[in-house]
Order: sequence, then structure tokens, then C-alpha cells
Amino acid sequence: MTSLPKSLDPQTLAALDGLTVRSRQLVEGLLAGIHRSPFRGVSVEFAEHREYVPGDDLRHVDWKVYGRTDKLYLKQFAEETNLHCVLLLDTSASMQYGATGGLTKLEYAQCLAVAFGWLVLRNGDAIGAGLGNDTLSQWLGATSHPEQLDRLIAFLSSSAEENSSLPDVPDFSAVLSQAADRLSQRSVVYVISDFLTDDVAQLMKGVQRLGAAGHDVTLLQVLDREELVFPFDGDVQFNGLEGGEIARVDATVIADRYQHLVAEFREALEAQTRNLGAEYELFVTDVNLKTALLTYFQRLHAKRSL
Amino acid sequence: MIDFTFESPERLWWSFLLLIPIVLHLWRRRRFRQQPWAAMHFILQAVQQEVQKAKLRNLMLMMLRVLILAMFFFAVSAPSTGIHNSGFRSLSSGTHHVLIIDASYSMGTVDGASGKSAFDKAKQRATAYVRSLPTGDVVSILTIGEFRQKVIASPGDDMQQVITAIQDIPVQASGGDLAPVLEMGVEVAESSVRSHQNLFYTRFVVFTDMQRNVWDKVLGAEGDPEEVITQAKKLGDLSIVDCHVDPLTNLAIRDLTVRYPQGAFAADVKAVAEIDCYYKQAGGKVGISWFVDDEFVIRDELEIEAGESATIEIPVSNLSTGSHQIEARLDDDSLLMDNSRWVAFDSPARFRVLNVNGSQNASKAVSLALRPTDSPDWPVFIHTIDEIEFEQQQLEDFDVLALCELNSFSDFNVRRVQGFLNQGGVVLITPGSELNIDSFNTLYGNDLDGQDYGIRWGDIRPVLREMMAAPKVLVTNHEIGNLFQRHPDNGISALPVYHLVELEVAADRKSDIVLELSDGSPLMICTAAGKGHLLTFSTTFGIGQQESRWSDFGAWPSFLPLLHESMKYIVEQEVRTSNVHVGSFPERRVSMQDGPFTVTVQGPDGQSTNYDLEFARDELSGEVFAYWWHSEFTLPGVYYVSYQSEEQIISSSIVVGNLAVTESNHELIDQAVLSEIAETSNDNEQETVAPRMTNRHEWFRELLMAALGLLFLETLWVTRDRQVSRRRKVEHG
Repeated sequence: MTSLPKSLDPQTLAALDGLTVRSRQLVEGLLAGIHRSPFRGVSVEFAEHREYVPGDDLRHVDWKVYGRTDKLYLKQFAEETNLHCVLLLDTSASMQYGATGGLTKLEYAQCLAVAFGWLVLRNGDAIGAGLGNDTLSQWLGATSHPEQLDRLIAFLSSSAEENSSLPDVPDFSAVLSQAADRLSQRSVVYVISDFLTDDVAQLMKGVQRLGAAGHDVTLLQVLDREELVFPFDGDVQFNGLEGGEIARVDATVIADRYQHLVAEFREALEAQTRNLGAEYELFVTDVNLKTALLTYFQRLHAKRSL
Repeated sequence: MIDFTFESPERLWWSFLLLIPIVLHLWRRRRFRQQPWAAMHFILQAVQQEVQKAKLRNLMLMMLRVLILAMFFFAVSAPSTGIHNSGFRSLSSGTHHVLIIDASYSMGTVDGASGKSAFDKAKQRATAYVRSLPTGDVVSILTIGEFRQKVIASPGDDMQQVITAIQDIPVQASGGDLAPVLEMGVEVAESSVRSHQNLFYTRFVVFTDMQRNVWDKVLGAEGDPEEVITQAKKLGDLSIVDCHVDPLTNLAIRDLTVRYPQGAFAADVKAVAEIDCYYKQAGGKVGISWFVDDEFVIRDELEIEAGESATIEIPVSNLSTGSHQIEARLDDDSLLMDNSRWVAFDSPARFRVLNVNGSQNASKAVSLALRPTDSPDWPVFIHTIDEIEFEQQQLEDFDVLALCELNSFSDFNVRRVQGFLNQGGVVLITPGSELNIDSFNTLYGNDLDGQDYGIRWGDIRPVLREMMAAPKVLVTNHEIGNLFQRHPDNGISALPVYHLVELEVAADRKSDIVLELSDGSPLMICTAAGKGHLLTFSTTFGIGQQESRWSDFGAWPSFLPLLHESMKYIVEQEVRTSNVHVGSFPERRVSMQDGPFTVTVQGPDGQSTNYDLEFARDELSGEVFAYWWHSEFTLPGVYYVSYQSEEQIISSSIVVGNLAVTESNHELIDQAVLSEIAETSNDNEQETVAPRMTNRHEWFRELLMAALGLLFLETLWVTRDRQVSRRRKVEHG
């Protein structure tokens, strides 16, 4: 029997449902926008007009409207296609971290993945997933079958057992490379991880590999609020979740430096991701999932509208 | 130049507390909260970048805390500075401070509440006074007491040296008298004013426990201050710092004597201690321990309450022949100095008698009475000479001088005999049949100043009989006659007396009649003369049946016990020079016949001092004598004196020094009386300070403000850290 992540409660799903109903156009546009580039021209249906702006492809100008109004409008198309979406979930030990009383990053990532899966399946598209921390250990093939959501939930639930044999410092880029090898057709790939690595360049190689294979890659970074603001003071012994490292520090002293380093890291990750033509979004585990998704989609829509 | 002093330097010892933050910093046991963490990479990187900064921050925080404490301790030590341009007295108030510190024995009294003695208090307050002096003022220190009265005579401006000198002053085993010390202070001050032109004012400051004895002479018998007060006030002012304390318990052995219950020539004695109780807050008995020749003998207890006196005695038997000493020691109380007392004595009492014959067999009765046996163990040695040999004799070799039936005395001999008496000798005199009255009156001081023994010699007269009945010999209440009083059938009343010299005895009780005839004629008189005793008989002791005999005294059975009782009385009066008061600087006149020798004295502290003989002419007789002066006679206790000639000890003796108990009752002088002559500081004042100089700056307030400022800074620092941390938490929350 499949089990839902605890945060994917009926209210959340209901909220997601409402979200879909209320902004179906938005979501569909979103999903279409995501894979428009790789699947353009397969099945095109007119959707709406929009005003021309310099740089737009002149092939999509509706000349008939121009003739009637003397204004340049572009024809917008809603593409209906069998979209392939793949969720790659990081199951490394660092994802087990969660502030007292809140979700762990892994739990939050699971919820996030289910939410995406639900949205994709509701749209009639195919969803698949992969789990791993150093290697791609599990794989769920993409399908648009109505029972795929249950399979996805069961699949994601097994990610909790993924941490039993962890290398000291997992190389998540290998998971990305192996996923690129597995994917036979162009897909929208959502990579969900905390991306806490000291080798961003290596990680970027994995992203590049996916991009080179023609996949549309989005990095969804899941972090705990404590990892961002570092709310500690006094003497604290930090026990590393990976590699067994221990650091005894006066947290008050290093707090500012830590915040600075994390901000630097995030900026570097985002910049390098975008340089590779991929997308980046940060999710913080204490933010309500619905709010986070809404924010994400609104921002994405705004970006597509430009 | 900047002069820097502390008002309370003893508080600088608190600076050891500065070690606390340092030790806490070094030995801090850090308790680390456990926190699992994913983003270790950033932690390690942050630590690497911040560790030096963190160490520096902790070090600075620790130093800041040390600085706060240091400022605080520095502040409470009350530092002050004075600025002056050139070394000596540029900012001086031109004052010579003559500090007179009472070192008399009552200053050793310990306060019942604080446990500090009056002397500690005086030194503390004198030190505070010195520390408060402006730069350039000078200080002299004198002490009240018999010994070492000038501690710093020439004015000193090195205050640290002055303070050290104050701390080194000991309490003396003597009473005190301010008058001579104040006179000395006036001399010192006048000398200073003459030699230092910058000095124009003298401040006399007396630190005392307000004992009345100290002030009696200064204040004068009629309540009019002595001239020395006027002299002191001409030079400046006089201040008194009251340092008296309140004792819990104080008892004293006022006197310790030896009695010879079986006569002076028996080996058994009895020690008698007279004890006064001045204060006693708690009930219970008081213990007194007895020591004979430094060996503990017994501990007695007695009931005595405050204001009472008591006498306690112990018999001491089976003493070996020779010199001994007994110590009586009371249990500890608030004043220890008067708790012990010693007495030195011979057992049996030994006498060397010079028997001088004025006529044939005149001294035979005395010889027989004082040495009734030829036993070598008999403690009396008698040397009999004719009158003509008298001038050749060294009187210092004898204890008793029996001048039997001499008719006159040369001026030389008069002075010798008087000197002998002054030194503690015993002189026994019987008149000659052709006595020169003027010569005898000269001997008795009737025409010499200061040697009046209270007896005037008159004519020889026969004893008148009425109806063939001779007047009876009566025994007075004098102590020598006690034995005869206790045994009324002793037969002395029937002693035949045929002739006597009319003696006129003054009524001032200097001379006491021991025997007299029923017609009122004195027959035997005992006189305390100098340190010695004079036994005067108005008749002679001639043995025989001559028609011209004066009496049958010498052959009468009562004669021997009479002389023995006389010797016993004299011994018991402690007139012998072996029992003296500490501080009296006993002068020892020794015979020059023994040739050159040195004197070694081992004092109560175990220290031995060698004395060389000095030679000086006796003021009375003009005769040259060998002396040694016991100049280190400052501690109560037993002194062992040995005379050495060519490294051989030729004789030894025991001398004990006792405290003259004069201040034990702590009778305080009325401050109202003193207020007329001096400014008196209240005893409750914690510190004694000299008048302030306006150009002296005290840093207490500034340092305290600095400490508070640093404390604020430290609080700000720590609070800022907490605020940042709290802000992060709020952001997180």
C-alpha cells in the first residue's frame, strides 16, 4: 500500500486541486512553456494573441489582424503533446536534516515531487522519477497512466531507505549523468536536492550532461531555514550527517561568516545553472508547499511572459 | 615629579582576584550543545576563516574583564597623586609631624570584639596618618615607654621608611609616661626647625590607649598642664588619637614574693602571689601555674571576680642549696604581659657578713647568732675585723655589715656605708661606749641632704629603775617581732638593759621601732635605707659581766631568734637586688679585688650579652668602683648572670626582671580633661589622616567611573552578540 508523505495531506492536495482549477490555464501554460522548445510543431492549436515586441519571430505575426488594426500581434499556441517529465530526487544523508518539529528536507522534497507528479498527470502527461545519492539507485519509468501517482508515491516513500550505504561524500552529479543515459527521449527534468556540495563544478557537469542530451533541466534546491539563517549561539558541536565530521565551535562567532558563505554558494549555484540554460529555484522547508508552488509558478509565468 | 600613594594599599591584595577571569578563561569547561548538521562544509570553512578572530575576540573580552576588575581594585585602594616640581618639600605644608606612639605594656591589650590590640590599632592609624601626609612633610617617631624612645629622631621624608619603622615598633614591658617623651619631642622639633628652614610648623600626634598613668605627669598634680604642653603648643599643635580597646578579661599578678616560714636559713620557702582581677566577663575559676627553676610544679585555681584581689601561695620544699627562681603564670587573657611574674631567691638565704669590732669581743654575739654552727652547709659566712681595718675592706663583697660598738665614722666611711645601703646591703649598728654623736648623726643623714634615715642620736644614759625594777622590753607590731608576739613567754621582756643611747625617731614611718623599753626608749629600729636596710640598736650586745656593760642582749636566748627574724624580714622584703623591675636598668657595682673579668648575661629570649666593666667614682664616697650596666634589661623573665675571668666562671647568679604593674586596670583619662590641651580624635574613626593638601588629587572617583564605563562596554559587547543571535532566531522563527 502506498503512503503519502505526511505533508501531502488532503488539504494540501485540495489546495493543489483548487490551484489547478483556478489557474489551469496558468499551469498548462507553464507546463507547455517548459517543453515548448523541444516539442515545437508537433500539434499546434491557437490560444490567443499578444502584442509584438522587438525580437519576436516574425513568422508568428498574425498579418490578418495587422491588416484590420495596423497593429502587430503574434499568434500564441497551446501545444498539446504527451509530455515526459522526470523527477530526480537526492536521497543523500544531508537531506535527512530538518529543524525540530518540521519536515526534513527529504520529506519536503518528496511532497514537492508528488505535487509536481500530480500536476503533470492531471495534465495527461507522463511522469517518471529516479532516486539516488551517489548513483542512480532506483528508477520509475515515465507514464501518464492514472495509477502513476500511487506508484510515484510508493516509489518516493522508498527513498527513506536510500541512506543505508552512503559514501562519505556522495557525488550527486553521477546520478544526473546516469539519468541522462537512461532517458531515451527529451524530457523535462526536475532535480530536487539540497545541492550541499563543495564541488559545484562537478555538479554542473551532471547538469550540462542532461542539457546536452536536450532535456529541459530545473534545479529545485530544498534547504532548511536553519541552514540559511544559522540561528545558533554559544558553544555547539555540529555533527556532520555525511562523512562523520565534527566541528566544535562558538556559533556566535561564525554565524555571520556562515551566512555569507551559504549566500555565496547559492548565488554561484544559481548563476552557473542559468549559464548552462537550466533553471534554479529555492524551496525552504518551513514555507507552506502551496505557497511555495504558487510563488514558483507565478514567477515562472512572469518570466515566460516577458 | 609625580608622587603616587595609596590610602589603603592593603586592598591591593584584592588584585589576586584578577586571576579569576584569567583562570576561568584558561580552564573554562565548555559545554557543547549537540547539533546534527548537513551543511558541514560551510561550518568548517567558516571556522577556518573565523578561528583567529574568535580567539582574539575571547582574549580581548577576557582582558576587558580583567581591566574592569583591576580598575575597581585600583579604585578601592584609593590612589592619590601629588605633583611637585623639585624633589624636597616643594609642595610641603612645612610641617614636622612628631608622632608619639604609646608602646607601654597596656597597649598590648586585645580588644574583645575585634581581636586586635590597642597597639595594632595605633600602628594602623599612625600608618594611615603618614600615608595621608603631603609630599615634603617630615616625620619623627618617638615611643612612650622606658626603652628605645627615639625611633626616628631626625625628621624623615621617606614615608615608606617611616611606615616600616612604625610597623617594627614592639610593645614594651614597661609602663609609660608622656611627659619625658613630649619633652624629647619638643627638643627634636626645635632642632628640626633650626636645621630646616622650610619647616615652620610642628604637629605632635599622640597615639595612645588613653591610660591615665601616661598623662598624670603631663597634666600636673593640680590639673595645670606642665610647661612642656605650652612649649609644644608654641611650636604647633597637639593631637591625640584614641586607640583604646575594650578587653574581655584581664588579671595581673601584682606581686610575687618568697617567704621563709622556717626562717631565712632553712631550705623550705613559700611563694606568695598577689593577684588582681580588673575585668572578667565570664564566670568560672582562674588558673595559675607554678614553675620552679623552669620546671612545672602545679596548677592552682582560684575564684576571683572583677574588682577583687586574691592571694595564693604554694610551699616549695627540698630545694637544693643555691639560687632558685619561681614563676607564677596566670591563664591567658586580654593582656598577656602582666600574667607572668618571677621571683629569685636563695635557699637557704645566704649572707656574707662583715663583722667590725669597735672594742674587744663587741661583735662576738653577732657572730654567734648569725653562725651558731661551724657546719660548712650553714649559709652564713662571717668575716670579723677590727675597726682599724674597716677602711681597707671592699664592702661589695658582703651582704651584711655589722658595726659593733664603733665610736665614730670618718666621712669616707659614712659615704661607704651609705653607698652600701643604697646598693641593697644590710647594716647593723650598735653604739660604742664613747660614741661621737655628731659622727653618728652624720652617718644617719641628719646633716646631709637626701640621706635622712629618720633617726637622731642623743646622749648615752643609764636606764632608770624604779624601786629596783627595771623597765621591760616591749615588742612592737613590726613584722620582725611577729615571732615574739606569737610566743608571749619568750622572755625578751625581761632582758636587762643598763645603758642606752637616746634615739629620736621621726614620725614619718621611714624607721620602725621593733623593740622598745616600757619607758618609751627605742631599743631596736628597722629602717629601709636606699635599697637596703639599717638595723639600729640603742644598746650594745657585749657578752660578759663587766660592771660597765650596756645590756645582756648578746647572751640572752632571744638574741639569736631576733637576728634570724630580722634577716628573714629583710630577705622577704625583696630588697635584694636580684629582683628588680624591667626598665630600671640595674647598676651592678662589683669588687675590683677579683681582678679583670667579664660579665655575660643570658636573657629570657636566650640571647647572651657580654658586658665589660666600667669604672666610675661613687658620688657619695668619691671612691672608684667597677660597674657594669645592665643595658639590655628590657624583657620580663629570668636573667642568668655569670662572671668570667680568664674563661673561667668565677661566680653566677640569677636576676629576675618583672613588669611594674601600673597600667593593668586601664583607668582611662577623661577626654574632657584632654580636650583643653589637645584635639582628640574619636575612637570610632576608621582612618586617621593628616590635614589635606589641596594640590593632591584622589583618583577614586575617576577610576570607579572608568571601571563602570568598561563594565558598560563589556555588557554592550556581550549584549550585542546576544542580540545578533536573537535576531537570527527571530528571522528563523
